[in-house]
Amino acid sequence: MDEKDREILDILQQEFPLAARPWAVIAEKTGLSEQEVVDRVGRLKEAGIIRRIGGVFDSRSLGFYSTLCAARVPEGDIDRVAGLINACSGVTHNYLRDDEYNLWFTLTAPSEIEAREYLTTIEEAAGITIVSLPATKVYKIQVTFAMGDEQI
Amino acid sequence: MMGERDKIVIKKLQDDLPLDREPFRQLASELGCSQEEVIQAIEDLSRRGIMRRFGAVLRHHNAGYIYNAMVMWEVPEEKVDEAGAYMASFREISHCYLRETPPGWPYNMYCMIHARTEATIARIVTAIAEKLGVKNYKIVNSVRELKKTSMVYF
Repeated sequence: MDEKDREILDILQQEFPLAARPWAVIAEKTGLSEQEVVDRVGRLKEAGIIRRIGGVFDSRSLGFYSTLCAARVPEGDIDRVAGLINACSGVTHNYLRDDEYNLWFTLTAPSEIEAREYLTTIEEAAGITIVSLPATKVYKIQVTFAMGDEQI
Repeated sequence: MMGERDKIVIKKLQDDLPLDREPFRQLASELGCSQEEVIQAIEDLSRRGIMRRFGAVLRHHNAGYIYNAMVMWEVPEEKVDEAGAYMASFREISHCYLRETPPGWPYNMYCMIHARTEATIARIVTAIAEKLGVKNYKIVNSVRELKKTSMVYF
């Protein structure tokens, strides 16, 4: 990654140009050609730095229910249990963490009832107990990563 | 409320934008409208708070933010808003929530910290603990990513 890549990543995250030819707008801002911007964005995707370019939606505004879940899973059983959890399409994040509750995942579902049904199904199939911690207040959701700023 | 047209636009925008010179052209033709109207629809979803933003979603680990910690805090009820505002003020904190506490579960506030160094995480956690006088908190680090995707709503 060079200076121009970082500049492009900041624009792509923070001020994606909503225009018919967005890459041309970025080209103008960065002093590159439209084709160079397309090539660089393609490379950043291939390198796995950009996961996706698209809309980031607010699940609550869409009427969806979401919750953070934690479970205690024996070390040797993690892959099996994670497989069962991950098979649920509403599970978007799942991390192994260094805590007695070692499996942490998020579940988003069209309603609270459906979320509970998913969790019960997972509990029964995996033989685990899940702690569900739905949010009661959101103070911040701002998932952009400043690339040009080396201070963070 | 959400209309059918909103759902079609959302369905497309939750995908990855093609690297075409005119990436919104396909969506315009599917909706039978102009690209300008597609862009207006995107701006409209944003104005209504349905879309938080439109742009790149990074794999933060690959982008150099290799430390990601979740911190759980036991914050007294009367201090939660102050805590939420203070935690939210850190650029390195991406998420901050007040959550339900099941019986026997002490932690009510949660934040996610992303940084390029472990020292940054420690500095932020110490600053928050001192500012709020919170003694009971726990930092849990990610050991392995088991799944990370974007939600497919429709």
